[in-house]
Amino acid sequence: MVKRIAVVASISITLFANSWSESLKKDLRTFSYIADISKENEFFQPHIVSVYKGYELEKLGIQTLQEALWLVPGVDIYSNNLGAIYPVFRGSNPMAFGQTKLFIDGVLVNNLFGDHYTQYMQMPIELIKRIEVVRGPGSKSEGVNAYAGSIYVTTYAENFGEFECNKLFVKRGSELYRGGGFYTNHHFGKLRVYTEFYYQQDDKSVYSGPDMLYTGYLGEVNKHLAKSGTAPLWLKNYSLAMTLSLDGFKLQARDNQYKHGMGFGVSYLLPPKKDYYLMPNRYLEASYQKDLAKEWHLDLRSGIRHDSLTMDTHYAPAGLVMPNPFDPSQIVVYRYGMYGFFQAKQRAIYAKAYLSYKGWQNHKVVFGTRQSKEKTYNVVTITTDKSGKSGELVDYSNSFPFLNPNAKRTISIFFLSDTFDYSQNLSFYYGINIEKNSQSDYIVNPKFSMVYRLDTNNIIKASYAKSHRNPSWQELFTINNITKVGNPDLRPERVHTLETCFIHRFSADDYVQVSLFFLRNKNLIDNINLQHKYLNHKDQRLYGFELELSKMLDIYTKLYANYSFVDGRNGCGTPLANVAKHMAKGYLLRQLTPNLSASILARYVGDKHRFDFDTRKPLKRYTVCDFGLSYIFASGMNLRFSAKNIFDTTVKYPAPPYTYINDYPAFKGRTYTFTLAWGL
Amino acid sequence: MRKIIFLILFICFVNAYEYNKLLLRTQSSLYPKLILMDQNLPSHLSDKIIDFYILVTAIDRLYAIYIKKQLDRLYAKGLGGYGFHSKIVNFSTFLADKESNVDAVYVLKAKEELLKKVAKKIEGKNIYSFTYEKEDLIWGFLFNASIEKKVVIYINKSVLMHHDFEFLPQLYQMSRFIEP
Repeated sequence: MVKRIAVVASISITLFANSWSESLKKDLRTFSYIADISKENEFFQPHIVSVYKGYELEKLGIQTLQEALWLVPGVDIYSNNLGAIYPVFRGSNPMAFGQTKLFIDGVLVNNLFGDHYTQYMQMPIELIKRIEVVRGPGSKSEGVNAYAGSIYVTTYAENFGEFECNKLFVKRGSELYRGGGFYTNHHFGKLRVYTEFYYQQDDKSVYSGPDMLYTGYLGEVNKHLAKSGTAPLWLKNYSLAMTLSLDGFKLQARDNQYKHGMGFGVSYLLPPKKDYYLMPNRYLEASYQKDLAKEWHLDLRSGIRHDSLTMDTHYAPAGLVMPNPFDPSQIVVYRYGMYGFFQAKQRAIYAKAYLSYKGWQNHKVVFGTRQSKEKTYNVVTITTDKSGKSGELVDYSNSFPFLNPNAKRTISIFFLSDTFDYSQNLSFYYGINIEKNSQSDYIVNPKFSMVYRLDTNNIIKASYAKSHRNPSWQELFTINNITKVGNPDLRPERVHTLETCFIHRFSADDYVQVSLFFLRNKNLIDNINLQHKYLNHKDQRLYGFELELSKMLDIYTKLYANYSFVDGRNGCGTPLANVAKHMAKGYLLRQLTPNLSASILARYVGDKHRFDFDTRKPLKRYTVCDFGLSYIFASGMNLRFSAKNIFDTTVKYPAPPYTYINDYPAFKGRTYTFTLAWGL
Repeated sequence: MRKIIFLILFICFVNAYEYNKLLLRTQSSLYPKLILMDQNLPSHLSDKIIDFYILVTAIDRLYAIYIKKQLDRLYAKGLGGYGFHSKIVNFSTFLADKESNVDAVYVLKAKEELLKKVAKKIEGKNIYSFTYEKEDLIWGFLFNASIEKKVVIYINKSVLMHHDFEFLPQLYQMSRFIEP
């Protein structure tokens, strides 16, 4: 009897323990999956990647995506003549847009006109759960040819059962900054609904000049019209996004309305304060994921993206003397100046389908295709009479448009990749993207990378990748403009990259990472020539390294810092222009009490040398320091204060030669922001 | 002047630990389940309740609250037929308390001396011990879960050998041993 009871008890305990064993295994699988998706295992990924978490960035007083990107090793921030901000990775062609891609919750949001994403650079950090920055042409997103780098922003639409489901925030700051927004996650049975909204506006401006007329580029006769003054950089921006998820089906939509002062002028001439450009970006993407069998996984997605550029501006002062655009032998005096209303609307429709297979030993094979059709569907060009006979407005939309109204392109990409775990310590990734688009021949982009784990704390990565960047609409199709001359014969920019990286982990959160890179860029596009025509006119070699350190110096002392160095030569042997060879960034955070933390953040950007034909002195190096305070109340409410540029440093973005000789000022002195946020 | 001010700020404002929230969630989910894998569990409990202490320094209290919320969400109703009671306890309080009836401790980041004292205090008492940091196992704690390419469970072999634990073989199959 006792034996029987013992046997039964033993069997019960074993069965019971087995069920917990299964539960444990399931947890290990689930959290490994989440770690993979959220890049917590970044050191084992086949890319050189930096991951920044929103809640940490908030503590540092970082306000926007732009400020967060400024922390990334090897990344510098630039502005164009409209005051449109964009990041430049490792000094790759800083006078051109489109070098990098931005994905928001997996959706590519670069606009067609400039192939950039300025309208998202001011996205509030409160809405960002995580930012992953892949330097180099990483091919994490098969079917997209990233070039100098790619940025993956994940919002709180991603929720793996975290507590932080809803948030509301309001902000107030200098330069009349006002902003606010929220996100919510709701469940209705199996249906999950994520909603996000933000609104922000400010009255930012900077003192700049003299403008391009001073250089004499538009003739000595116009030089006296050159102006210095206030460049309007004000902002009005709102965005509404929604994600619906039901089983494997997902629908994502976003409408981002972005209105901005004309900055330094569409034609590099200082505009009046009220002049603006509108750059809305909206998309709708439907996707469906399903495990077809144990080893097969299907992913289908299709979407449509609208973006446009509208400019409402006085783009030349009264009294300007120019050749008549219809008869260049005649000279016209524009007594009333030139006013213009320009609008170009674009649409991209795309579909992507891929299958992944995990049934062959330790391989994960992915293959599929991405198809897209891009076109301009409306161009409006209304300006003051270009013949100079009157000050009347004339509709030149058909006769003299600023952009080719028939601009269009189709792109087909086929991709195949394999992730192969040769052993517990050695993994390989290799793949190929084959692209055919309506403006170029087949382009083949292979990638190979290896991750080798020397032991649990030391990892080596190496990769080779080839990629390209298709010219943007602005570069291809701008017409009837003397400061930007499009060129439909442009070839894609090409890049070959060799990278290697060593990571040493001191502990779960502490590491040092050293990356070496060599890039060979071909067919680089810019319009820095006397005709201002976009040309594939140079090749470039870039090399350098990045050092990133996150270390608890003792149990309470944390240090995060990075340093990057880049150098290289252009194909004709001239040195790199408009690139800071040395950059260093870092932050320090002190938890004064469990609820109160203070932070200091610093960025150093080195001198930027000019083109060899540009006689200006190098753009001076700068160090900017920010300060932040954060207090979390017992109710969960969070009050934050951040002061930017506490030492009142002058920061300028480089302006192209023959435009603004004193470059583009980035901001005006010290600024501050108060934020009140409720996590619900 | 700027450099001096920056240096002062640099020296002053270095005092924090930023925990990885996903790792905290992973550990909160896994650690109680590891206790259930011990076939000798009934003999180690004085009652039918698992008393699980989160040992923390005062400055990290908000993170401890985060962990407790996770634990309570998952296990407040009990697990495997046992009651489950989680409690946030300061290192100093724990070390000073001579009567504590604890079954498991989960230690967050702390100074080496504190961790050594905690390990010393629980030594030989068949108390299940877990760490946030894998490197802290060397002081004499039993389990750690880390995020590497996948989530990995580490077991301190010497601690295992010196206690009366008898874990199911399945646990050993999914774990790695370290010998400090």
